Amino acid sequence: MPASVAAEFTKGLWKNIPPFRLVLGLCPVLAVTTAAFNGLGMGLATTFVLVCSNLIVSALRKVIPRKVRIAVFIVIIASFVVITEMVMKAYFFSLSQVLGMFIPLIVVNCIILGRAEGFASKNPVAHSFADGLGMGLGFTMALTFLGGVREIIGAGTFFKCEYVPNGLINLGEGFKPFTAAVEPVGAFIGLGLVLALMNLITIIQERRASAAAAQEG
Amino acid sequence: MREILYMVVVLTVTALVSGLSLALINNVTKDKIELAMLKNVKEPAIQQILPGFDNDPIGERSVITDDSGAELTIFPTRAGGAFTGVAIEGSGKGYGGPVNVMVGIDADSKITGIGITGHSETPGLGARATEPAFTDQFAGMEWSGAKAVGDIDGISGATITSAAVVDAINQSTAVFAANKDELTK
Repeated sequence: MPASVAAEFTKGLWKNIPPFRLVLGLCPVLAVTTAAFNGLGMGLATTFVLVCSNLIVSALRKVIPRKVRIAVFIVIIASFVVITEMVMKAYFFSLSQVLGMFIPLIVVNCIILGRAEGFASKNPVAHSFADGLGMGLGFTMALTFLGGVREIIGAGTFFKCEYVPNGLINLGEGFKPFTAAVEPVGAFIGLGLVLALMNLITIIQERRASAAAAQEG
Repeated sequence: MREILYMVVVLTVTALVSGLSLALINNVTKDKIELAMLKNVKEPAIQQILPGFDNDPIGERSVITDDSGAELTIFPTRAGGAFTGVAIEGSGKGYGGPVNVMVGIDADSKITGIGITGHSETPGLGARATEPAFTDQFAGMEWSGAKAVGDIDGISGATITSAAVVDAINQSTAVFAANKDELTK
């Protein structure tokens, strides 16, 4: 019995949120989350590629011969990545400069090939679409969250970009930023803390669940 | 045999569709990307080396081919209709690839400043060519004929990059000298 389309969508938002739960696609998570806006941009670009590749792979899943499926998947994914890169350069130039190499590197983001191979090639189009969208948005949330935390600690602003020059939150001149947070070391420490927090929440939830079960029993 | 043929057909068709759609999108975005590059990378460089213009150097740009066959983009700047200078983007061969240098030249053939608009040099060594400590020395220089890297204060540990910048300036000033009457109009 396959899960419902809605369940395929929501699993990516919390239960299987890619970087924190599946611990997949960590390269962009560590590298571009120096600010919330960069994380959001990277996440949305990845979401676009993921949704499109899931759609096409799922629609063609009965046509693609098993022996060459990985090659076909990669061609499909790479095409969407190049499209994303060209469109981003044409319309969001400064963001594309910040993300730089990490846009072309979406090709090798294991979330995307992982979803194509592990999900879209075995499931109907609607489910694959929901799966891609959920996973992509989960990835976006994770990147924006980590980027936001690092930006606030490391620069004293939140969501500062060319569209919001002062940021949604600005701690102002009096705040002495802890610059290590926006440097690579801050990415590792920040990701580690978020993973620890996620595990803590899971443990508390499990304890509550087993306590509730014990009471009933 | 049939299976192999089928695989070949599927792969070919996938690659064909992918290539076609990419070519299509490239056609649509090509000009926009070029314009975005000019607006975001070139214009700030021009503003820095030739401040105070009120025309649109990006819109008035032209291309001149020099004797070696290299194509150089010329950005004329004017204030109130009068010629204030011209920015010429030259290029030299650096350590990691071409080093593109925007060279500002005024009506007296003096260099008003340079800006590095593109490079792939080693961070911490050649990449220091973008710092004002290096680029500021060129402002106000008389640059007649070709110079060598020994004529300027190079970056220690990055002689090839320094020479590339000098080559780029040589290229730009040569084009300016050859077309001076037309460019200073």
